[in-house]
Amino acid sequence: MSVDGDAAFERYVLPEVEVMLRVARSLTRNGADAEDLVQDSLIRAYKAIERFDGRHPRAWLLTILRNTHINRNRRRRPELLRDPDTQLERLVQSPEDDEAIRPDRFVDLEFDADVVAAFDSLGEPFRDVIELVDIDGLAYAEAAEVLGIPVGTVMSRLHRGRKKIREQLRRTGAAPTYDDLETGRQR
Amino acid sequence: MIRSALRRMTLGRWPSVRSGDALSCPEVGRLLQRFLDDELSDDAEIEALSEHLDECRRCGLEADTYQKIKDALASRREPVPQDSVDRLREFGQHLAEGS
Repeated sequence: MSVDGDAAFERYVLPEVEVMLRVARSLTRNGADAEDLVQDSLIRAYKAIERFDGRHPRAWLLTILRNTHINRNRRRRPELLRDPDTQLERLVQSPEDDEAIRPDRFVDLEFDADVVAAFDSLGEPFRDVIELVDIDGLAYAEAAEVLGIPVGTVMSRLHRGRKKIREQLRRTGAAPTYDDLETGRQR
Repeated sequence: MIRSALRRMTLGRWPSVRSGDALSCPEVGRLLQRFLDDELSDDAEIEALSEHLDECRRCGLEADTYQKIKDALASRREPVPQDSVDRLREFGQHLAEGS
């Protein structure tokens, strides 16, 4: 590797390690696997750095991460499906800080738990996009790179997925309906 | 007037929003998700949308609900373990220095 390549690796790749790990944790649902995935992706990025033009390093690295993940999965059995009950348990676990025992926090926690239940009931294409954008905090273009789909598809899946969550919240009374506007009811 | 009629006919895709333009509810619906995700960059669109949300209770309620959903999902974000980040940075640093 040339000195330029090493410098480019340090400049473009190392600052993105944290984001890569965050996304890897979403992809693998397992901390140890996520670390292995990022490590393999770093090796691939290192080998490819001299061909990288320096534009959009995060998007480039997320593409590498996705491809590495796909290759690793070809050699392994599929991941176990997430258990929604565990997700819920984790969310409503009694937090220890004083902030958490304020009564309005209980209302928030209840709403949050309803949202998570609705999120977990979504089909995978919607859940994947929402997870990357809302939970991992990626931009549309970055989520598109991770999933290998056009940005327009990211946007439409986000919109449809969130709409499904909102509809489920309305059915359970957790989100206001337009009728509530007439009666002035607010949750 | 003609501009807003044209925008209604094209579901808000043309012509582009100019400063001082008023948006219709369907146009706001089209832009709202990008607005909440901080993916709108056009100042005139942001200004027109913000004004509409302030004035229209229905769209304001819609925006509030989606924002609360976004916040609830964001609260699931777990901190990435710093020791993992440090290990991986160190690994990357070795790659760059070891060749």
